Amino acid sequence: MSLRFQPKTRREFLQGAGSGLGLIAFAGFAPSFLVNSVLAEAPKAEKDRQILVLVQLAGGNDGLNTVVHHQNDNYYRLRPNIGLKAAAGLHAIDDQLSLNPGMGKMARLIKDGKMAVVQNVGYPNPNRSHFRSTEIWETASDSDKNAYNGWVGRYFDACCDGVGKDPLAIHGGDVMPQTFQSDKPHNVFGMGGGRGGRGSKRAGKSPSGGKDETELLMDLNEAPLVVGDAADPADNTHYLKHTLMDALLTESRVGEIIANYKPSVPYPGTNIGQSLQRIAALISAGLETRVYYATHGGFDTHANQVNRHAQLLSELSEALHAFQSDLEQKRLDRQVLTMTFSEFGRRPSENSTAGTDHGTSAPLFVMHTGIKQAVNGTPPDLAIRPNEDITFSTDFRQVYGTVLRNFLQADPAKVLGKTPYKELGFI
Amino acid sequence: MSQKLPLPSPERAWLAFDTRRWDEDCAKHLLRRMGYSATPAATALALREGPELTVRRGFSTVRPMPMPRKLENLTEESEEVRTKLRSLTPEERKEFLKDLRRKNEAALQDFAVAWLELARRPENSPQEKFVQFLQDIFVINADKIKRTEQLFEYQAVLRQHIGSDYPSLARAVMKHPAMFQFLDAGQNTKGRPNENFARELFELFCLGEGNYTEQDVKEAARCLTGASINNGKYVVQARSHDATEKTLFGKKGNFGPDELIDVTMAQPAAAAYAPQELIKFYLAAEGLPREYAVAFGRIWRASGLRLSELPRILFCSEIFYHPSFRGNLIKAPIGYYLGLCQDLGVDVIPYPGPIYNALRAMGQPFFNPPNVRGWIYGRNWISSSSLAARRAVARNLFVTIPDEKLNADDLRALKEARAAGHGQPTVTADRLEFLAKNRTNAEIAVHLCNYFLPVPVSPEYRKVIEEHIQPDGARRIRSIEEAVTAILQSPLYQLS
Repeated sequence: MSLRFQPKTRREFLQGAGSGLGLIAFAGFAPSFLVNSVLAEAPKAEKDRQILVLVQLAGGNDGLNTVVHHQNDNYYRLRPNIGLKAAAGLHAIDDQLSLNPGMGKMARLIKDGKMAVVQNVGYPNPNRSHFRSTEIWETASDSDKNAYNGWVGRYFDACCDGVGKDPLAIHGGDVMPQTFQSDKPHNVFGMGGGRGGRGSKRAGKSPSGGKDETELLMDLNEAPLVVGDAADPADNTHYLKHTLMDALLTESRVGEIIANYKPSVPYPGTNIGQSLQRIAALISAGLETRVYYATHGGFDTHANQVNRHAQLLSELSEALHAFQSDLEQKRLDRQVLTMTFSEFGRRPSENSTAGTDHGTSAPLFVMHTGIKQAVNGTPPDLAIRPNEDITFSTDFRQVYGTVLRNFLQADPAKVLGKTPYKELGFI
Repeated sequence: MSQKLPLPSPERAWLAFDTRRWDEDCAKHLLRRMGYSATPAATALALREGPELTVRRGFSTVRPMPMPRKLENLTEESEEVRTKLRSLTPEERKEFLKDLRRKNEAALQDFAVAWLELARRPENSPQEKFVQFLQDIFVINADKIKRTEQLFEYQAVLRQHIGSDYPSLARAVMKHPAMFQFLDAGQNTKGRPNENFARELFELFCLGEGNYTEQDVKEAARCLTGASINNGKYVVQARSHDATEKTLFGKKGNFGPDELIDVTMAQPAAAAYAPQELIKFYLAAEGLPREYAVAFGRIWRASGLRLSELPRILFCSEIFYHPSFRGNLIKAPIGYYLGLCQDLGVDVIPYPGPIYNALRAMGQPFFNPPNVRGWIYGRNWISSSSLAARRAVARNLFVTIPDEKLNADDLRALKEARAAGHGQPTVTADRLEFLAKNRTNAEIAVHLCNYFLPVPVSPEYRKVIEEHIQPDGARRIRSIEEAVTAILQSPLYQLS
C-alpha cells in the first residue's frame, strides 16, 4: 500500500485526519492506530455501531426501596420504619411494583418503552464485601473463583481486534475499572483526575512562556530516539511512545469535544448528570468508543437512608432521562444501551439506625429505545425471617449475555464461558 | 539497534559475566534493575567494585523494618480487643469495630509511607525491591486481610527469609495467619476439602501451571486438612485431618503440610519456577524460554535453593548484561516513584494522601494486588489512564505545598520527617539554579538526558530540550523545570 500523504508533524496529521484522510503515517513515527490500521487495512468503523454505557451505583444500592413491592405485606413487615408507602409518592409501574418517589422520570421512561427493570439479580454464594462483590460483577466470575480480566475486557479481546483511532473504552476518574482489564492491550481512556480529559487543552503557554506541557511532551515523543531511529515495533519504547501519543491526542480531542458540546436538553448539574453529558458529547462527536463507564456513588446507606437514598435515585433518574432525551433529539438513541449495576443489594430487614446493611440480589435497569419487555425476571421471595437475605432469581450473567448477544452482536460464550446463561427478553 | 546480537545459549547464559567488559553502562544497568536508580555516586562505586561486590552489598545482611508508629499503637490495642468486645452491647460493638476498621486503614497508609521511605534509601533499595518480588509471588492483599498488623508481619516474614531457603519460606508463608486467611486454609477439613491453598501452592508459589495434575491438587488438599490457627500458631487438628495415605506426584505416603512442601519442592519444576518469575520481574516481563529457567534452576538447586542466590546468579550472569535487556523493562509504578525520588534527590512525601492515591491511579495500590495472581508486569502497567497518573506524579514533584495548606495530621508528619532529616519531598528552585549555573542550554540538555535516561538519545531529541530552555533569569529556571518534567513523563524514563 502506498502512503502518498506523509505528514511530518502532528499538526499536519490532525488537519489531515480532520479532512477525512484515511491512511496516513508520520515519516518518523505514527500513533499506533495509524500503524495498525495500515497493517490490518482495517475497515472504517461502521457509523451505526452499538455503544454500551455502564452506570455503576457504587456502595450497594438498596433494591427493595428502589423497586418497591407495594402490595407485599412482608416488605412492610421487614421494614416498619423505612418501608415506602404509596402516600410517600411512589410511582407505580404495574399493579405490584412501584419506583422510589425520587424516580418519576425513570417511571416515565418505563411507560414509554425505553427502560426495563430486571428483578432480583445476583449470583450464587453471594459475597458481602464491597470490593470482592464489585470484582465479581466486573469480572463476571463465580464467587469462589478469582478472575483477572473484566467481562468487557474479554469482549474486547474476543471481538474488537481491529484498532480504531479512538479509545475502545472511556471511563470517569483516574483508575481503570476492572471491567476493562484484558489480556491484549486496548486503548482505554480515563476522563478525570490530573489534567487529563477535563477540557485541559486550549493550546496555551507554559509558565516559562514556552510550549505547554502537552506540546513539549509531544515534541519529545516525536523526536527520534537514536540516530536513524529504525524503531523495533516489538520493543517497549515503541509501545510506550504509541500509547503516550494516543493518550495525548485523545486527551486534547476529548477536552475539546466536551468543552464545545451543545446538549439539546439541559442536564442536571450533579456528578452523574455531568458524567452523562460528557458521554453524550463524545457519542455525538462520533468517537469509535464502544463502551463508556460512569460511576454514581454513595449507595452504602447504613443509617437514616430514606431521604438520602431518594436523593441519589432522583439524581440518577433525572440524569438518565436527560441523557436519553438528548440522544433522541440527536437521533443517536438507537445505537446506545445504558445499564446500571451495583455490587449488591441490601438486607431486607432494616437495621436499628433506619438504614440497611449489605445484602445480596437487587434489581437493575436497562435503558434503550425499543425495549421489548418492561419487567423481566421474577420478584424476590420476601417470606423470610428477620435479617435473612433474599435469594437471587436472575443471574447477572444472564443480563450480560443478553446484552452481548442481542445488542453487541457478540457470542456470549466467548466472554462468559461455555456454560450458557439463559438470556432475557428486554431487547 | 540495527543488528541484534543473539542471546547466549541457556547453558552459557548464567555463567559469570566477564568483568573485563564491566563499564559504566553495565554498572548503571545493574543499579537500575537491582534498585531504583543509578545516581553518579552509586555508579562510580559500582564501577570500582564490580558486579559481585555490588550485588553482595545490596543483599548482605537482612535489615528488618521498624514498625510504623500507628501500627505500634494499634497492636497494643488489639491485644485488649477480644476481652473488651465481650463486654460491649451490640451497638457499642458495631461502633467499636467501625473505629477499629478506620484505624487499620490509617495504619495501612502509614505503613505504605514508612515502607516507601525505607525502600527509597539507596542502601535498602535492593533488599526491599526483592521483598516486592517475593510479595508478588506469595500474594496476599489488604482488601481481604484487613488487619494491617498481619500485613506488616507477613512482609517481615518474607524479608527475614531472604537469609534462608525457598522451602522454608514456603512453609512459613503456609503457616502465617494472613496467608491462611487469604486462601481459606481454615475451611479445609477431612471429607470436606477446600483446594484453594493447595492449588495456589502449585500454580503460583512453587511449580507453575502444567507441572501438576488435578489429582495432585486433590491429594495436596488432603495433606492440608484440619489446619487451623490457634493463638496465632498454625496447628493441625487430628480429628479433622485426613491421616490416610496420599499419592503426590506418584509418591505414596501419609503426608502432612510440612511433607507436602518438601515433596513439592523436590519436583524438578520447583527449581525453575522462582527463577522464571525472577527473570520476569528483573530482566524481561515476558520471561525467557523455559530452557533458560531450567538451566538457572540447576545452579540454584545446587546452592540449596537459597533465596539470596537468586539475585546473585541473575545479576552476575552473562545474559543479564546482554544488549537486548538494556533500557527495555517497563518500571512498575512503585519503582517509577522511588526512582523519581532517588534521581531528584527528594524524600518520600511523609504523609499518605498524595502518594497512596497516586499508586492506586498508576495501577499498583500499596499491598493490594487485585487477586492471588498478583500484578501482571510489563505492558499491563501502561494505559492512557496510568500514563496520565504517572505524568501527574512527576509534575507534582515540583509543586511544594505551603505548610499552612496542610491539615494538622499531615503537617505533624511533615514536621517529624523534617526533624528526622527526610522532610523534603519536592524539588526546590535552588536545585535547578545549581544545574543551570555555568552551563549553556545545549550542555544542560546533554546533562539531563544522560542523567535521567537509560539509553543514549539522538541530537534531535536533545534539541527539543535545548530549545525549550529560555535565555533569561526566572523564566530560565522555570523552563528547566518544565524540561525535566517532560523528560520524566516521557516514554524513555518509564524504562530501566
